[in-house]
Amino acid sequence: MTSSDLTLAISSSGALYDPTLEFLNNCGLEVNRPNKRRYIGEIPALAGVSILFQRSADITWKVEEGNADLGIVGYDRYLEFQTNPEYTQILLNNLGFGACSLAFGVPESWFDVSSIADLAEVATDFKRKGLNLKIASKFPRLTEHFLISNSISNFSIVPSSGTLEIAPEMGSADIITDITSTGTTMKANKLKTISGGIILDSESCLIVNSQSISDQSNKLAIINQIVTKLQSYLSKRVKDA
Amino acid sequence: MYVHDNSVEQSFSILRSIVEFVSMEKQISKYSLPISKLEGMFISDTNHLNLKNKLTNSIHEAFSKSEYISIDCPILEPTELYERKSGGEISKRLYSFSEPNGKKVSLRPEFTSSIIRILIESNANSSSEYRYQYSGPVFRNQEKNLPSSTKQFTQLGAELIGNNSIQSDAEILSLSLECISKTPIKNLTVAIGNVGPIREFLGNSGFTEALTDFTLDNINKLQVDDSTKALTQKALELGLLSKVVSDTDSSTEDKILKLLTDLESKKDSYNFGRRTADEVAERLRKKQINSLKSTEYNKILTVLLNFFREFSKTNVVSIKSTSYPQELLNSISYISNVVKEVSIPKNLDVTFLIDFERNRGLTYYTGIIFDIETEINQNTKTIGGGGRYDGLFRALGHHTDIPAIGFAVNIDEIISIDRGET
Repeated sequence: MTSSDLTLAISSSGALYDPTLEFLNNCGLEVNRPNKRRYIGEIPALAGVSILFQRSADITWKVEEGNADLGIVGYDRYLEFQTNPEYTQILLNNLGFGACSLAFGVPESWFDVSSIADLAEVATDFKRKGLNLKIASKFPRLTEHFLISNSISNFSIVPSSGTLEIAPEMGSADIITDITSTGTTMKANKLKTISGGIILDSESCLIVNSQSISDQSNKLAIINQIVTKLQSYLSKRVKDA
Repeated sequence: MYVHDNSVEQSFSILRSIVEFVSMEKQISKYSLPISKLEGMFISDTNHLNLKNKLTNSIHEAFSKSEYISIDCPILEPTELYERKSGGEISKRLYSFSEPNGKKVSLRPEFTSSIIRILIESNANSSSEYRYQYSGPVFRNQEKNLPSSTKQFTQLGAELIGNNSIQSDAEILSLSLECISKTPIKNLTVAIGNVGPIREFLGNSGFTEALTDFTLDNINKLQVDDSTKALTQKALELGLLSKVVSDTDSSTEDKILKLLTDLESKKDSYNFGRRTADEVAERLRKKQINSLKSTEYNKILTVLLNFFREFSKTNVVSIKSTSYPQELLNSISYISNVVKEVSIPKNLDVTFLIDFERNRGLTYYTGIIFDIETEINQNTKTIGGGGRYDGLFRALGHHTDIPAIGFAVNIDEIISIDRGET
């Protein structure tokens, strides 16, 4: 890897790791990673491109900081972890993998809560008792924005990074917001989703550092090549579907 | 034979040091860029500081004559104190961080919550009156796109606790005007709304508390005909309104009955968290009765819209129109009665306007709410405001409600206006 290389950050492990490699492979950009402990790889078919393997949560700021020029990241994490929105842009939305939703999980025992409006009333009941509805979340920013824009105010967020689903049962929070694709994990932990309680539908997207696509950047041509390959695969897939 | 020459060696050594030093300087200058002041943080120059001290002293002296006791509060408080007051709405404007032990703390965005907390801790008596005044820096992380966003400013204000009479509303309004009379600002508009009777009207119309809060929170959007439809649609999406298709549809009721039976039979096997099985059942029963339909909601919003159109932004006058529900007319007549009791300092030119479309969150207020505005170069500047918040004691954990009203002004903004800086 040289300083003139273009760097593409992708997940180093977790739910997006295999689908990202498969997607790039399908686009004709097979990634060569010497071994799973090595955090730098390459695309043999495209000279001058380095792959930076990162935790999914770190990809957004790596691209913001300019440590990577491009990044493939979940739309949910992109919105949650942005610190300087003007430093990055989305080049391609909906890459066709990593689909999930950020949703509220409410204890099944709360029979009276079936919609976000019910939740607002429960929050008001808590306030009357001198309490705040406590929400455990790995996505505090998106959760807070959703609640405020829906006129729900009596809550506090308990930022969490571990297994959220047990927070209500353990008593560290009343409800949670978490990523779900089928709702199975929530159900297994005696939680249910509610009507109007989807904060965001997400898929993977391609983001870019704004400086890397400025007129002065010598990386523009190679970014164009990558985007063209990705677009061509995405449109072919739409036609085949 | 080579003779070791110390002087040559010494010269080389000095030269090397110079080269290293220059290279080090280059490195240092590369990495030690000057550190700028944080955007929005306030620096008082000597003039500003002198004016501020003089002004705050003269206001505090005047307030003391009205028996308002000076108090100062911690600059750092538990984040939950502010979240309990205004909920998440304020949390996006808080400067929050975690202490080394993990406790979430925030720089104070205002004084009111701390003052109420101090009273709760000292076992405030609900039959006594308390008068406090304060001044000091507060911190609010503003939205980036707000003009002249100052994230640190000096707030000066007063709270009157333990009285919910019309006279106490007038006392706080009078005090806020007395405060401004000590400043160079002489022309004012006081825009007043009254949330209490509107809450009552919505409650009497069958609104749940959540629907009332939702409506009040969006009241400033209620300006055109289409806005009632948009708001109704949003309330429907959120599940705040009944989705019953026809009057004969009883499926919701049946479902609730089934849930109640399930709840009763299995309640020992469920973990209800910080709620109880009885609370869950009670809400279920309430849901059975409460079923405001979107057509009814839209109708009530239209009444509100027409009412605001007729009275908002008008001078405070006695009510002549009688075509509106009594609660709404009461809201105006109450404002009118308060204003009659207000003492206006002789050196001020004050216009009182009725205004229900305040942009700040209304859900925290329970009675009158007012903003103090002045015109500078054809721009309206809000320099202070206040309102009644009778629910805060209970929200902060007190066993009962104690009425309270207060106001605050931004002293730095007032001085900047005086110095022609805005």
